[in-house]
Amino acid sequence: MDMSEAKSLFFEEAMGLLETMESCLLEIESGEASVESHIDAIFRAAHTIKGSAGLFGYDHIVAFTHSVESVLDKVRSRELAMDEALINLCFASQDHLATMVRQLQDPSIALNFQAGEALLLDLNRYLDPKKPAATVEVPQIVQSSENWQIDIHYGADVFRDGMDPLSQLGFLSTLGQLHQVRLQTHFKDEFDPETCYLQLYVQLNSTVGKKELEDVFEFIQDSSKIHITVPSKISQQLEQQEVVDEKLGTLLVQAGAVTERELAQALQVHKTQEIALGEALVQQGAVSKDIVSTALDKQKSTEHKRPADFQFLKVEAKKLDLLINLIGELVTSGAEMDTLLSKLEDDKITESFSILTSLLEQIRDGALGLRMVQIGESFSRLRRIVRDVSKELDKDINLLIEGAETELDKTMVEKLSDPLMHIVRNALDHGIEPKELRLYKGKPAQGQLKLSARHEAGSVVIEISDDGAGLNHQRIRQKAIEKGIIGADRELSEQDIFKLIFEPGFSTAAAVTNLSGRGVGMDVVRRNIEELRGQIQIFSTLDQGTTFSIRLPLTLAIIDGFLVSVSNAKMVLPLNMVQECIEFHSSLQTHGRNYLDLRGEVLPFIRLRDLFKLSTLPGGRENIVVVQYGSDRAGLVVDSLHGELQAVIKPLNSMFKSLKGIGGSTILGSGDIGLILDIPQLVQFASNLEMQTCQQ
Amino acid sequence: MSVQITPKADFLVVEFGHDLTIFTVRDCYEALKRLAAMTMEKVILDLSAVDDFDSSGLQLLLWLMQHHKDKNFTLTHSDNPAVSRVLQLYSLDFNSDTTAI
Repeated sequence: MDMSEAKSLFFEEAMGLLETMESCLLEIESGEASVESHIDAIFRAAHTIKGSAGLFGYDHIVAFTHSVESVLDKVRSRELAMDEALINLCFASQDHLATMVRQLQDPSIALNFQAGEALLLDLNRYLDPKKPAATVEVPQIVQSSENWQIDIHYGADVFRDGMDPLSQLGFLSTLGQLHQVRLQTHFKDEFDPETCYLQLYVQLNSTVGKKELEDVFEFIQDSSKIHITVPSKISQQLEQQEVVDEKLGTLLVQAGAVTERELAQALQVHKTQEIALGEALVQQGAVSKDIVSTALDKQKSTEHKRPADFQFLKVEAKKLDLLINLIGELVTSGAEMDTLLSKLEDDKITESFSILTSLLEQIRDGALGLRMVQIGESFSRLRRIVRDVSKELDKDINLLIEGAETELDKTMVEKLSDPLMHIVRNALDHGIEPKELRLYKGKPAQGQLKLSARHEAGSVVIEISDDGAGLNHQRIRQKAIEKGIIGADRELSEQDIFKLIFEPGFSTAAAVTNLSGRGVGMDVVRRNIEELRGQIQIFSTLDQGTTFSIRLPLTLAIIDGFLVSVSNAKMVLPLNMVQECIEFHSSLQTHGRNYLDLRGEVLPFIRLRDLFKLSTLPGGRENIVVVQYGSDRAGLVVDSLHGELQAVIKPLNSMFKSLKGIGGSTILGSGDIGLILDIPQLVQFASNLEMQTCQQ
Repeated sequence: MSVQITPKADFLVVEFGHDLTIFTVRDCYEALKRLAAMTMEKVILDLSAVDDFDSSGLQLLLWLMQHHKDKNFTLTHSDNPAVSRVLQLYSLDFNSDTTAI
């Protein structure tokens, strides 16, 4: 590997880590995740960037990241609270780091050194012990000593429950040497002799474990508060112990510093009150701050020994594409073999081949799965945009994300990034009204923006909804006429009017802001989505909000198809869009028009022979294949039905890019070319054609 | 008899019975209420007869001493093993510093 490759790896790794840092910060800020759950990942990101930058001699990155890392380390050790100011500083630092890293790739990017200096000053202020403003108020818990320290606040009903602190003290004296016993009373004005007002503090020198000591108080655990502080020797044990699981809780339990019960109790507090686990343990008196710090250091040192992406394997995209191509060839070759074997009519060979085919399908799905990534990655970038833009516009906007785990081809996720950003920016800028206007309209001051993703009938549906002003179709129409996009006398459906916003040069915003409103972008949005064989629809109600619905195919490489033929041409339909096949008679046609009555439903259809101007073959019956895309259905009239097959999608030459109704091609088992039909376009075409006929 | 209070010359003797435990503390407490009406400053708590002594009994004594801060308490138990054991386990020494509790 030469240096340029290594540097490119550093760039990719650093950008990935900065993305992780950003998404973690966003989750902490929105309250979706606790500081404790994400601080390690944020710290690790900074630490790794610093280490890698050092290898290449990027000293300015090392110096800056060092300060970031030191502040983060203080947050980890609970010396600093991750408050709003610190989160903002972390975001700013993350941005500055990202610019520094990008600048390495593209030297034309200007670095704002003054801003960097200012950030360093702010960061160093947190590191200066003379500035106590940001320190966390942690109650002082007893310091570690050579002895076990047991502090018991007895519950009021201890005597009435038949328990006697004396018997516990007596038992403790059998476990070791009692060094200090201090009895305190907390009497109330109204004294009840049967109520217990005692508090007992004991120092015990013993070799027993914390669990054994905890067992002494088993029967009063629920009614009393018992704090057992471990002796300082546990710290040494913790430092020396072999780490099996690096979770803080497990580390402490293994070392005998915390019992399972205490851990469960602290985890409960950690979850419900969003307090760091270590802090919760210190607060409940289970363990001293020193020991938590030791365990955190231990955890840190273990993490550093572990590869950064323990559960992931980075593979060059090129290698993956090669593998998928090869599997595509294998599928094609398998289809050819299938055709030949069917001629042999040998049951044994056919059966054996069917097993091979089934395995091949699994390998195909597995290989395609390798390219699938969660769409949450794209959504995370949008969170930052929503945060920054809403602050800039002084709008209070709540972002709701649903279905972030929905998987999509990696290429699509990358290509979707820009269109999604444009739509979200538009929603923030023009969709969601300013607070005052929202209140005036009787809406809550806080605007809602929802990003959702789901799988639906072999497609991925991504929706961006806001509860803003909605689209004013009259204004859009008027604007389109003014801009000369449509003629003044042209009648359009509401849906078609909405689609005008995707026309180049269209903008309805009264004031153009620096975020959006220049009319550049929405046309690119539609183009990008159409390039992905997807569709975009707009649903909008005035004053209630707008939803952009993007429907995309699941994958770009191999599909399960349904083979049909029209005249001599072989055509493949994506199987997940095929609903049913029925025999076609001219009698089914209503009033000679291209729609039929399918069990009481109107079904528009297209004769593919007419559409593609193919010659008519004599005789033979025709069939109609009912296909569905989204909520729309249509029928495709074909000559013969051949059944299922696996189709490796080969893109059409750019010469045929403008061809409507055909999405690609595939090589069939017989060696013939099969055309893959673009069902969404055909369904839309059938619906529009019939609607136009009606209007005429 | 749970508690017997006997005024002597210028002091009071409070004698506890065999049992100074959760089973008798309420009776003892009721009986000890009479102390408030008695003006003698010096009070001797006699635990010599106590066979059964638990933490609730000890708590009652501690309350008594804290509640009647105007009185000067002295505890005696004639090396009663039941009482000695409790005081020893709790590291209590009434004769040296009773007010420290």
